[in-house]
Amino acid sequence: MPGFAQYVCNIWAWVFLLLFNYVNPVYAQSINDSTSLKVTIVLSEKSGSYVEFSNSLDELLSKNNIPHQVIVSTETIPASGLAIAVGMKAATAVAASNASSILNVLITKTSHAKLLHDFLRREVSPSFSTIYLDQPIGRQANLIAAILPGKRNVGILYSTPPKELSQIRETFKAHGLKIQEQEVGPELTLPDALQEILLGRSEMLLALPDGAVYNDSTIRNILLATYRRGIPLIGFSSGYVKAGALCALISTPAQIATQAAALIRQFNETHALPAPQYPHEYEVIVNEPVANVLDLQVTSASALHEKIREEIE
Amino acid sequence: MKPIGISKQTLLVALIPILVMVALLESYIIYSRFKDLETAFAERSHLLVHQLASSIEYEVFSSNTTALKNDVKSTLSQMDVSRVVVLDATAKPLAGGLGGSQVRYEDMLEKSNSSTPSYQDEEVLDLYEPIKFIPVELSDLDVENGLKASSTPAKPVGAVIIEFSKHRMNSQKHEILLLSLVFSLLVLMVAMILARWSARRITRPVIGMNEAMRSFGEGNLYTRISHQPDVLELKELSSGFNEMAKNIQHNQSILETRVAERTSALAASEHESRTLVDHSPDTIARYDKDLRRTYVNPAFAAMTEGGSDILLGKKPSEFPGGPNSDIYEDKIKEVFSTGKDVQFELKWTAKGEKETCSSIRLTAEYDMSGRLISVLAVGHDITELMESKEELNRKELAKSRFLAAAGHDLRQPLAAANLFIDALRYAQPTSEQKKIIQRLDQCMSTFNELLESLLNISKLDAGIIKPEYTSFSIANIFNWLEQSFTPIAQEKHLDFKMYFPGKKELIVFSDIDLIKSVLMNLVSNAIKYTSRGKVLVSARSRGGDVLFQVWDTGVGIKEVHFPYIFDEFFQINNQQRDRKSGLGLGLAITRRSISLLGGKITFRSHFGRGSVFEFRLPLGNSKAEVASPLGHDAALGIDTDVSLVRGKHFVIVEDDVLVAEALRKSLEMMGGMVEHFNDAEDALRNPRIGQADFYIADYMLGGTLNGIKFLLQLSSKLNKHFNAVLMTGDTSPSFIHEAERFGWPVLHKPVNLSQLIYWLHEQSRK
Repeated sequence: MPGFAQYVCNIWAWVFLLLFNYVNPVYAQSINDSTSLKVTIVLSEKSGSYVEFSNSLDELLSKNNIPHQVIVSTETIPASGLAIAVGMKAATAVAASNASSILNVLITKTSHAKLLHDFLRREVSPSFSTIYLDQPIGRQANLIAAILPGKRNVGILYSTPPKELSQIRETFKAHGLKIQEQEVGPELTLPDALQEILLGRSEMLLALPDGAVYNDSTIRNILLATYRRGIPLIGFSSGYVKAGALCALISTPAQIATQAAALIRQFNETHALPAPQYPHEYEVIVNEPVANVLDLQVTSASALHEKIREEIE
Repeated sequence: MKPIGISKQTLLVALIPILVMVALLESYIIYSRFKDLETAFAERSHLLVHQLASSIEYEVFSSNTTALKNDVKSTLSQMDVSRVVVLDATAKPLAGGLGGSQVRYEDMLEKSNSSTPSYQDEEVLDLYEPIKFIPVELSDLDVENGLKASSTPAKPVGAVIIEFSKHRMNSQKHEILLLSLVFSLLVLMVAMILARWSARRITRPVIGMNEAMRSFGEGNLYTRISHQPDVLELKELSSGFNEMAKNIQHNQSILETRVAERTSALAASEHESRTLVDHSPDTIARYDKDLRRTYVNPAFAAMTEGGSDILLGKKPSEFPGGPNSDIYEDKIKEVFSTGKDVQFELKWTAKGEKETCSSIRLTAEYDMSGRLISVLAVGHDITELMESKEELNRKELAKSRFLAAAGHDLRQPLAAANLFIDALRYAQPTSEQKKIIQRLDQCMSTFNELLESLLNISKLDAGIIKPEYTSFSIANIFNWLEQSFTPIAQEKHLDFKMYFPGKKELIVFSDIDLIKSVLMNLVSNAIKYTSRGKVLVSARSRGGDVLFQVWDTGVGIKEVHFPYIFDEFFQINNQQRDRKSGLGLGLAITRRSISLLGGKITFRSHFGRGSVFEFRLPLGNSKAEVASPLGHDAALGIDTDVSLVRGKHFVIVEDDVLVAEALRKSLEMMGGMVEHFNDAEDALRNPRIGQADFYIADYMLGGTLNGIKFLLQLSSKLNKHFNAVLMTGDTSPSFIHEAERFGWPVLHKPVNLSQLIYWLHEQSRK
């Protein structure tokens, strides 16, 4: 950031801090308390899921009397204490800063890898960890098995093969699922690739994080295409399900906050962060109208949830 | 501004508002409808193109040409769609109307494209809409999860151009226009018809009425409006007209009858007047402005040599001419200029050289418009009348002259007789003789009076007496009255009073002597006819006059005698009367005297109670000439002192023998010495003329010198004061004044001897 802007940001940070002084007595109290660990929650945006997360965490931390503050990623990140980076933007900012210990939340494994790459971090470090946003593959497979019993062929589209592709293949295989792949590229446009998938044996389409394929512009048409074929789309976030995907596995900010709070408590004592981990808690969301249309006897989300858990356990 | 007929007016009234309204309404409706149509068209078009663009998003995505074709087809089937083309991202056609991509799309793309998505002309509307993949709403977690949000607005994956034909809309517009035009025309037509009909309802009857009126005006008074109009007001008008026509016709017939009557009456009267004029003995002529005769009646013609032929067309100066014709013409001119009637007498020569005198009356004659057009001359022959009048005048004049002359002649012997009687008195008469003398004196007195009265009245009648006006004080007259009549009143035991304002002296402007005689007469009458009670003489100022009244409580006058009392010789017989009754001329003289002075004498009387006689005279304005000749007559009946005469020389200049003789004798009887001359010259020639003591001269003398002149000459000759008296019969005040200027007393004949002596003595005492 240009110097002047940074200067302005500093001013705003101080204003923000002052406001917080008067607004948040607990926080005020926590500032006075200099002996304990200071947790700084850094938000990418002061809105949406980030705030949802920080509110939950704030509650939990307050219960545990762990002093903390909430700032936005654009502000100066204190060097000491534990920084909780919420979202990629915050994670990038925090990583770039002098923060001693960082715990990233609400970012995917891929994003985490990128951070490591960008900021030359060691893979495993006690001062740098992440709670992934995305779900483990096994869980995904369980979901598929639970929601579409009998259906084994899973189609996937990617522009570039994902790193875990082989892992996915393996895991799915272990669950009795077969992968059909299609690469989208200059030779095969998305519509054509889709056609291939749909005309092929795939009984479902599993969405994977691939911006070239799955973005806000294409989702509708992908959904339309799959919908027309009666092939359900398994999403990987709520947006999909809202748009018309059959189901998705997600972890809510609150669930992640609980997990983060535990890690913070742990850190408070051990001053070490565990290795990056997938979220423990999750939810299954189902688009029931779509399920109806696709004529799938889909059981309720909670039942599915139990079923998956069973599977995992 | 030219008058507009009812039809046109009604038409305008009907059409103009309707036109205006129709125009406004229609234009509004048309405008609004057109706008609606256009808006609807545009909206529909936009909607359609939008719908297509969004609905084929997936088809384009999946490059489903078949589906695209179907979509295009279905779009084409929509109303007004003429061409459809679906383009890919490179603006190549994916599908188009009417046989795939065969449709010409280049021009479409030219008209509407990404930069100008809308193109419009009269025929078509081209709309261009890019096909975009509609993004899905993503939450931040979605983003974190790797569901990308497109940072930049998505590039269009294709486009849709639809060309809409405006043909249908245009035809619709035309239809609307046509319909509204038709409607307007229809409405206007109806309005015109209505207007025409309405106008006709009025104009027809009005024209009919006009015709009727014209016919009526031309004289067909029986014309009526037979056809009653429907319009209320016109109906009233037409019935009103009929009514009026009826009345006029009726009145006309009445008028005609009257005119006929009048004409016949006029004809009759004209005939009458013609007869009158023709048979009138008077001369009638009519003169025009040029003074020429335009008509003469038969009488006039008969009186002139040559008759009407020679009279007509001539001026009076032309015929009959004569010295007075100019006067006549002037008179005619006078009437022409003043318009007033003129009456005068004219002498002219008639037929046969007959000198005629006519009393002519000229009357102005006017025409119908009041202009003076001619003068009518009516002449009445008064020749004989004039002659007899002249005859009468001559006789009167002669009579009066005679009387005047006779008067003088009559007086002389009378005067002489008086003097002789006086002489007798001094001739030492016996008592018997004295009685006889007394009686004689009385007789003479009476005779004197009677004569005087008679002469007076005839002088008044002859107009010889001319009043001489002076301003004189009443007081003097009244004093004289008092002095004169008190003795007689006392004798009769009557209360005799004078009343006149003492504070302010009353001056009267009149003739003294006449007044004197009038008052004398009235007072003597009053006393004469009053046996008991009183007599009052009063004078008061009333307005600008002095009112004289003589009141008495005498016998009064019976009403039956009222008209006659001023008549000559009239006396009321049956009462006590004085012996000196007189001739009964007193009041006659009084009346004449007063009227000569411009007054009028009036009286009131109650029989048995009394009378009052009164007259007015104008107030005098100054005390200027207060004549006092009365003094001369004051001394009546004073006994003469004989000693004044004894031994004195008297000169008498008198041409009357008798008078002179009487005088001489009287004076000689008294011891005087008398020298008598017939005329003044004689006397003056006498060398001893200056030696006399007293001179007595008569005014009227033979020879060139009169009495006054004689005395004057004598005065210049003697150049000393001498005593003289003048005797005269002339009573005019001017004469008296002349005499007084020279200081000699004037005695009126008949002269009283004692008076004479008295005055002579008065002279000598100075």
